[in-house]
Amino acid sequence: MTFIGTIGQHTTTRMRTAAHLFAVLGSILAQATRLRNWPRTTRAVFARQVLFTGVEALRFVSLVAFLTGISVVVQAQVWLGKAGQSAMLGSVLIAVILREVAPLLVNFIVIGRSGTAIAVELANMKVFGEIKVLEAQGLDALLYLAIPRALAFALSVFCLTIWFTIVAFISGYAFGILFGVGATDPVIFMNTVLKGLHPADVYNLLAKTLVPGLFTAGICIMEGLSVRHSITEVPQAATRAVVRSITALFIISAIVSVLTYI
Amino acid sequence: MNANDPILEFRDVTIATALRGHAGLDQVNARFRPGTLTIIQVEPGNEQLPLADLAEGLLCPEEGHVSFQGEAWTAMLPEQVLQRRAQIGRVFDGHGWISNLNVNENVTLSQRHHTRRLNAEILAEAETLARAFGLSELPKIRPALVAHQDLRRSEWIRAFLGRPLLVLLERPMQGVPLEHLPRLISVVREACVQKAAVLWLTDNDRVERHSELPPATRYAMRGQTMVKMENG
Repeated sequence: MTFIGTIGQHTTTRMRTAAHLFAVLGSILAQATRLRNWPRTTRAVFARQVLFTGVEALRFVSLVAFLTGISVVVQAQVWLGKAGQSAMLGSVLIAVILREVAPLLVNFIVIGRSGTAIAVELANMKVFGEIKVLEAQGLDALLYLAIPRALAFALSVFCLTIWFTIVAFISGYAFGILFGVGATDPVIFMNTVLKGLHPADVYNLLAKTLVPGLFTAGICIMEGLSVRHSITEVPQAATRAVVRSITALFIISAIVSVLTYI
Repeated sequence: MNANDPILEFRDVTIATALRGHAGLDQVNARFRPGTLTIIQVEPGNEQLPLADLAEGLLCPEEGHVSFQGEAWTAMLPEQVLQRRAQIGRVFDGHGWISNLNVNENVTLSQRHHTRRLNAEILAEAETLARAFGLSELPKIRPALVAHQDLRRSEWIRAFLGRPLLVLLERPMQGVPLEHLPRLISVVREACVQKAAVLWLTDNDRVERHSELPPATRYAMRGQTMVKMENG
């Protein structure tokens, strides 16, 4: 095959994969709106996934947020103070933490902790014939495995991002006081931050958490279920799931930033 | 559908491809009516048959068709397929568990998913069946942690839970001491009284010739052909 032909074939394959992903996500969203697709078993899977992806990640997310708060918020306070632009602190923090750092880092954490877990879990289920066991009992794999996981992912990423932002601001403020930089009055600090917040930030936050969360889940589910018969395919599927989820995350993040702020 | 119409029917079913170790089938014709037991003796070396997968519409025959309650699986809508499968109990030939659910959750999964019965009611029925099969209680740990024969008997519970219309037993005595066979036969007999069709695949002569078995239609696999036995 010619060089151009190889590029074309590669592009076609990528486009087909993307179309499949959109079809899966479309089905998940469409089916999730039907109440009868939420029997108690599916609700239990949703609750478990929120517990695993959201609640159990709280400690690690808090640690990362705490350290991010120290480095970013304190630096912002120091440099803006030196430049005589302390009034811009809120805008800068919102732009750095809420718009970019928090959604990105939380999505990374969720991909690393839960995305790989889902891909490996579903791949193992496929290899060991457990999908067939579900189908033999009249359970649809999409409804029982995919819908609750995808929605739990999106919800968890959104909640964790808010939590991340709060912890980062608190730690930044606390260390600012400790190092003797920035506002000492918490109300002044909070007002400065809130002044930097615009309605567009809310849409940005929703788009940068719910959408990548859904895409990560969709990609990891697809990769997990793409495994055929061999256990050796499982780690390959997990690797592909991580790489594609991170790629999707950056693409979505860039598109949302451009659409929201330019 | 009349009361005596077959629950499951194989008409000229042929499946030649050896899918993942399954043996093929050639021109299989059989009807499984309510309240009947059918025993199919499998050949050594060809134990894993696609019969149960075909019976549940999980596999499509290359020729012929399989009907459940008078309707071909291929003619049903996806939602109908799922609803009908919920009326089938099965003991799998091989791995039959969801690894990340406890055994009790596995056993009650179909009933919790498809019905509005109370959890307590489903569990009570499962515990009754557990005792009938000689288990002190339904295991509440992951399948990987349960002894093989207890796991197999838990699979019996799942197969009969919720009074299914069709019970598919794929070599259910695998790994289970024969002393438990009368317990299984007793529940099979009760299922037949309740108008279920029971399809029992076995490779064990002692199972097939057990004196307590209710009257049964008997088939034997000869290569890819299913032959009806004279005493059946």
